[in-house]
Amino acid sequence: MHAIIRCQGKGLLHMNDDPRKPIMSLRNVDMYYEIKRGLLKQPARIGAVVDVSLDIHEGEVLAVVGESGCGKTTLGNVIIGMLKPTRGQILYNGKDLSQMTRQELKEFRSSVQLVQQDSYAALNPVKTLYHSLCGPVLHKKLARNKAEALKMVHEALDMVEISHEELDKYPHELSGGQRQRILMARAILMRPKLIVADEPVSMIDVSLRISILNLMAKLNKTLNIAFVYITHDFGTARYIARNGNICIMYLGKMVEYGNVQRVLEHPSHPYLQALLTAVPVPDPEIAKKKRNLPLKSIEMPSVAAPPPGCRFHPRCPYSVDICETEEPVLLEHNEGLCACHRVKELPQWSLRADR
Amino acid sequence: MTPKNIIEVRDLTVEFKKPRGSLLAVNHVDFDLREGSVTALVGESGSGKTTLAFTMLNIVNTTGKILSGSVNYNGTDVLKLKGEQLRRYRWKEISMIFQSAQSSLNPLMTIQQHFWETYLVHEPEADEKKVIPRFFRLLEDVMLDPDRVLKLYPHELSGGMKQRVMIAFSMLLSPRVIILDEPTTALDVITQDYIFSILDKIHNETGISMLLLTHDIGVVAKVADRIAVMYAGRIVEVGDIFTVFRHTAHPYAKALITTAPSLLDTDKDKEPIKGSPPDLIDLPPGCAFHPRCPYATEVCREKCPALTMIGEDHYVACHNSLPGKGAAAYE
Repeated sequence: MHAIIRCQGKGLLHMNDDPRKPIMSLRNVDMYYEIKRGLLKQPARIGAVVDVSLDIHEGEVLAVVGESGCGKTTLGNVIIGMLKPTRGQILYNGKDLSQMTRQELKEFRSSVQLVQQDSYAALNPVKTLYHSLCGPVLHKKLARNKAEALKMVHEALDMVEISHEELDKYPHELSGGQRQRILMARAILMRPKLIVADEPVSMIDVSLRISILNLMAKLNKTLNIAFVYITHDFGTARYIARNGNICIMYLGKMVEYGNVQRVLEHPSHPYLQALLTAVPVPDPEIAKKKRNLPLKSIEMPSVAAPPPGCRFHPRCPYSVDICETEEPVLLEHNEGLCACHRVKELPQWSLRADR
Repeated sequence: MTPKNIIEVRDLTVEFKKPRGSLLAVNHVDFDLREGSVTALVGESGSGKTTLAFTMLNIVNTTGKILSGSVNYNGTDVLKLKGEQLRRYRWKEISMIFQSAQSSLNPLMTIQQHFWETYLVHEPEADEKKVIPRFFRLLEDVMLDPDRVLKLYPHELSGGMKQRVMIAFSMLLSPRVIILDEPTTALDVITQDYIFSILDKIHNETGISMLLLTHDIGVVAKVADRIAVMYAGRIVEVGDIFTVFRHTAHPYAKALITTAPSLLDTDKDKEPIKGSPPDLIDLPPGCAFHPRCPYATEVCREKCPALTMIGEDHYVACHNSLPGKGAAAYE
């Protein structure tokens, strides 16, 4: 079955011949926040996610990368159904979330789990891990009795490589890395099809990051759980999603999408090219080479008042008249998708060219 | 020619008393900051890098106590300075940009008031009209528009702009050393790149010595010319950046460098460091890294290794990479 991406009403694009079916699809999803500015004034509308369409396939790892304020966390919250989008459809197994019955919604909420950035804030500090882990299992009636629930929890702990004795501990007695593993265990107990991991390693000691990423890769492989990995770090994104896809966001919009290896080696969008130029590489011989940022300005415009036309045009070194007036749509380019008017005329840019 | 050290830390130990026992945040550390260098001090949270930097300014928190050692700056022991002398030394000789520098600014003061207040404390005779051109030049150095920025309050600036103001601010009294504690952790990569290009420019123009505290190996590779790796309150490896990256001798430093996910890595599985960072109050005996070290031998469990020279400007504290065996011990 062809995986399909619908591009802003401009018809269907056959992205790739991914044989896996999409478990989740976003169709032209908008998420606007309203900020009240007083009684009489019109509330300000902030487009955290604007017109995003994408498919998440069974067992896929999708990396969502962007700078702070690009809407990546909001997108994650929309995917797990925590935020109701202001426009657009979210389909889970082909079924619209807003049309689901109570029972179907319940199933959906178990099947799509979230792993947060701050593992300490995500666990109840006055409950032992036993309560934090067994509670949801019993509540969701995944086990008939406590003994069965405990057995399930033990299996999950084995999966995330945490010893069973830790169950009697409180969250503050564990290290950051262990807590993150507990969050993973709590997520997989619900037998999910998809886990949205929002910056899961950014608060963890550097020496432990790789082990958490390896754990995610293991869960992905052995349990066939799809992952949406939200991050600002290209290094970890490439590591975890090496066979998957990547989606680059800028000021609420998706600007580029495609296979991780291809997109990072040969980025099409000028914004992504600038971002990748700025990423420091852990090798002094490469990192010390002087490279100028292909950018006109380093200041990011406010999400509350995005520039007209292409949102990147005030900073883009290649912008022309059309970029200031007309918003580019995502179009197929180089086996991926890119939203840029001048994508075909841009000079070739390669990750390694000047490194 | 031997390079000159601007700061020499000798046998420094800093203790924090905790209900559970004593915690040695810095444990018999020797450390040199070369004049005119950009030295990166790398380590995980809790490795003691911030405490080590604090002793260089003699600002260790009250619960902490300096048990032994000295910090030599140009022939004076900073730890012995008191009152007025210490106040003159701080900022004028060494300035520091603290972690989350962005909250170091007073929300009720404009940027100009910040600059002027600090300047006045150090130069009580100064005339505000005469020093304003100096404020202008400092802000221009960090690519900010002084006309506008000097009149603004901190909340009117973006994160990257505040960080640039802090850099200009730290240069106010032309110090000879600047300590940067995680200067870009809260910033996006593009802003980070820009901040480091500004710091690079300032370094080239003034020859100022910099000590950069970070845990980001990518940033170290890009910015530093020397690197010191800290683990559990001790320095485990120091040296020239190219030497340390190419011939990493300490197993912990090696793991830190090789497991950093890189944008350029295509399809490699990385082996994580096993175990987790040690409990600083209850350190393992011998080498603090031995429970996590794949090369640990009997001696590692008993004796703590000393920092030993294994090559030109390359020192390591590991029993299994002594001179002769060198870095090749792990190949």
